[in-house]
Amino acid sequence: MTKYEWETELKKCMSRLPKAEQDRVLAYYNELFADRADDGMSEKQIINEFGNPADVAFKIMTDYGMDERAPDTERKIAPPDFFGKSSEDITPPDFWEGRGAKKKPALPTEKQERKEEKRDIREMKREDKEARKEERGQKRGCFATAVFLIELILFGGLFAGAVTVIWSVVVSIYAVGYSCAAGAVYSVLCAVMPGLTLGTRLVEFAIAAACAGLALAIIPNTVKIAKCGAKLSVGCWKLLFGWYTNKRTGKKEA
Amino acid sequence: MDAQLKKGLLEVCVLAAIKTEESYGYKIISDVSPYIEISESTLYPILKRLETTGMVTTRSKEHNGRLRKYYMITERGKRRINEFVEDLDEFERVYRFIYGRSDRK
Repeated sequence: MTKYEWETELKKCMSRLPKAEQDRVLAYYNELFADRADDGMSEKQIINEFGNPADVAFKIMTDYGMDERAPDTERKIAPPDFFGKSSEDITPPDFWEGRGAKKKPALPTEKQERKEEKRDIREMKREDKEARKEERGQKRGCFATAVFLIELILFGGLFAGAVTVIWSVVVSIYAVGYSCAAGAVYSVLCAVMPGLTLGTRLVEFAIAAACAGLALAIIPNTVKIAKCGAKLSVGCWKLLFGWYTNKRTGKKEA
Repeated sequence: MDAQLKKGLLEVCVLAAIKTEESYGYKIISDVSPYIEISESTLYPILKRLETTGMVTTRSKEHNGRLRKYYMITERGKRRINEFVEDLDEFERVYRFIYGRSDRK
């Protein structure tokens, strides 16, 4: 048998496979053929090594070719009429019967072929299903990454928002403190201005005293207020981070 | 050897054969065959499966004026090898249990 004949026979035996898959198989065997030829093997030797194209097609069409058919060296040189004559060879292997068990009686060829065809279709469907499952798994992976990124953005945004609020309050307190100090000075100046009634002067002094009191409560505590703001920021981070990690680990455990 | 057991072993053998450097069909068969029986038609579905499950990636490279398909292991494939090695302890315990009750001891 020549390489061309072997390939033609293989194509014929794999005709039930999708065209793309057939091409992949042929490319695979072409490469192996060329590599063996580079290694000094003759065409005949290589064809013998590859074995009966029908057997090759059978193995490719069943899951992994790892079924329980006993290795039969004779089949390698048998004529490639797998789907025609040697019905005994294509009896589906029975894993549970084990190797030593009796072979099932051969069915008539036609029935056998139909059975074979159904099995191949089942195998192909199963492979497709597995591939789809894998694809879904990858999609789920992408989805999880997207969710993670969104969570991260939300988490960052929430934290930034909280810190902005805290420090805005701190700055506002400072502003009030210093404004009060300025207000107190202004009121004192107003109180001592000439041409005012005693009552007005007293009111101005009262305002100055109130402002000074508020300024004295805030300005000497500038550092304390800043520390308080920092503490609140850290607390906020801890709270958010703790909540976030709990949520993620909780998800994993579930 | 039991077919299912062999199937699992062959998958890891192929991964081990391409772990240190990328390899191609013929070389994989040559590297693995001294340790476990493997043929071209057995290797094909294994490679296909490993590729589908993301344990290997492929690329075509020119060699002697023709294209040759090279197989490269992925991180997932490496993890599979490590898992297999970790499973060996458990396998050994089961083996000892079965061996202790077999007629061959």
